[in-house]
Amino acid sequence: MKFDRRTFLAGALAAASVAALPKKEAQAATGQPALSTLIDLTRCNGCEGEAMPRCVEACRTKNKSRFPEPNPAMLKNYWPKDNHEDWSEKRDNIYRLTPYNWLFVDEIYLEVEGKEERVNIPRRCMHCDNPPCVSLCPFGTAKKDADGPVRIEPELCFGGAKCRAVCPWQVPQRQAGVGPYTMIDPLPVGAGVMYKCDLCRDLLDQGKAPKCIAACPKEALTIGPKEEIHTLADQLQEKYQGYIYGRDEHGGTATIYVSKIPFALLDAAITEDVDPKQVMRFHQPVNEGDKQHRKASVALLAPIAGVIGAFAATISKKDANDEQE
Amino acid sequence: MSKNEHIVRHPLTVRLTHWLIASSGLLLTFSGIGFMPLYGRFYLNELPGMQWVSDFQTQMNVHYLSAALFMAACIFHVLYHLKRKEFALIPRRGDVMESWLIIKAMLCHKKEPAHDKFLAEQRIAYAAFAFTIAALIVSGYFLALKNSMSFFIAPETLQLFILGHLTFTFLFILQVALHLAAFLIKANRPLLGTMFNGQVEREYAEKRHPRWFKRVSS
Ligand code: HEM
Ligand code: HEM
Ligand code: SF4
Ligand code: SF4
Repeated sequence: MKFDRRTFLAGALAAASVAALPKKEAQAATGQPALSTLIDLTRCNGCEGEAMPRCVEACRTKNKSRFPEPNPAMLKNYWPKDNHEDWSEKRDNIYRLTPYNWLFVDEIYLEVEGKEERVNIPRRCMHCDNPPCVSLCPFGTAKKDADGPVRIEPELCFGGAKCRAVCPWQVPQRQAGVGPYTMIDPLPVGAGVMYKCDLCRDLLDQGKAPKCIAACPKEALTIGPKEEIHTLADQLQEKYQGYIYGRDEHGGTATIYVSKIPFALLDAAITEDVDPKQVMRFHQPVNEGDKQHRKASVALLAPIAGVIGAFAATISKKDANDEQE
Repeated sequence: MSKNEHIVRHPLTVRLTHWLIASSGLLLTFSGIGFMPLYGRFYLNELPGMQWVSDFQTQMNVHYLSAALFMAACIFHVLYHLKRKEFALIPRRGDVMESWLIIKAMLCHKKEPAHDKFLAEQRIAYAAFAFTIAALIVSGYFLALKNSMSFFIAPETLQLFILGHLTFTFLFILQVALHLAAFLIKANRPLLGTMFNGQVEREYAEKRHPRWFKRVSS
């Protein structure tokens, strides 16, 4: 099983013979044409010897025009707090997620069965199946599309960073000095705009693969219809006698990692000597959104109580109505 | 009907419903505002016993619980008064004009028109409340439905519901503020107690609400 990473979507859609339909109808016609991505950690070598990993470079080049250009006058503390988040002087940082770097390649060293190993891990938004960043955004500006990608539209983002707080990997990153909050300035609400990977939404719409995937010389990154990616992940796991991360974690995501080394070991190496809240982990987060289902249903049934109550209260009572003319 | 110098204005059922709607409505507003990360910014979560206000999951639970009470009470209110055929708060023809007369009377210290059980302003305010609350319930119910089943909705549609819910929240807060501000006006002050003990002074009713008073005292 192999995807042509540059034109896979055109092929997939043509196969269902809906390529010519507008996006909405194509979705209806194909039912749930969810996409998924696969990251093969046995293939990625961090682009050894290059100044910058190719995927990171491709991402930064592609999205350069969308990076924030803050108004210097707005780069002030979030009153009454005495901090603000400004990455505009640290645009070159490629070692973590920032508003100017939506994909980074983590490099970790660990000992596996007595042997020193180096692992390079491309990290970005996981594009969760039930993303809390979307369901909890108070402005609906974090959005999940039918085919899976999760994106944040800057137009109505106030930078409250709730999406980051509820994301198990703290993916969305805040830049102060941009966005709608600057228009209501002296009011102490809002703090900037949140930025993250959108899986190259515009390219997907054209049937093309995201830039990072197309740029990888090692073919470590793949995208395709969800079922096919899942099958591929199973095959690779079998082949490497390895492990899978991201398919079931957090209630399922559209990013599946395959590794020869257990993810618990990778996670231990990632979190060694650092605050685990500051790094992108391979842990087992619970999806709070999935837990919400039952609580929401309780509220949904409440009107019935109102109906029953009203009938019960009006059966026996016959006291006078004082309101009739 | 009458007890010494007082007459019944709001029976217990009505008072309980009012306070259930008021308390759950305020909780909904508090938890709803808490969905926007404001309380953490203003250190509200650092007050003793208030850590939970910046915990989104807890606020969501509070919102669901108070939404359940709120919706049950609102539906009870509508059906209860429908069945009893009590429509004193439904706006009538000429209410807008009459409200203007009342305001003018207050400003110029003239005599107000003779009121029925409620003032024309109260009937208009009721309609506005009803509209806002209906919009909040419809949009909120839809959002809860989405959260309970996580079916797919086009994100643009979803955003319309979320922003609608938010817009009506601000209208709701404004209306509650106006509702409370009404009791700052001296002429309305005697009504304040009625939502607590259910009664109003006979003399006040006779003078200010003669059309209602005639019916209850006969
Ligand atoms: C969510 C909050 C609330 C809602 C939705 C609400 C709604 C209403 C409505 C629709 C009425 C009917 C007539 C009118 O508009 O005056 C009413 C009456 C009343 N409310 Fe509220 N209310 C709320 C909160 C409060 C609070 C916090 C107070 C008191 C401090 C209060 C005191 C009263 C009183 C005294 C009346 C009786 C007025 C009369 O007898 O004419 N309400 N309320
Ligand atoms: C007085 C009535 C209400 C007020 C003031 C209120 C206020 C708010 C506010 C400010 C938000 C956050 C901003 C947003 O997402 O729009 C919110 C969210 C929410 N409200 Fe309400 N609300 C009310 C009634 C209800 C009711 C009756 C329900 C029904 C179950 C409900 C369900 C929800 C849900 C599920 C959310 C989360 C939004 C999401 O999942 O995307 N609300 N509410
Ligand atoms: S990884 Fe974080 S930002 Fe990305 S979809 Fe999931 S919750 Fe949202
Ligand atoms: S995923 Fe590919 S492009 Fe990115 S660092 Fe690894 S080898 Fe290089």
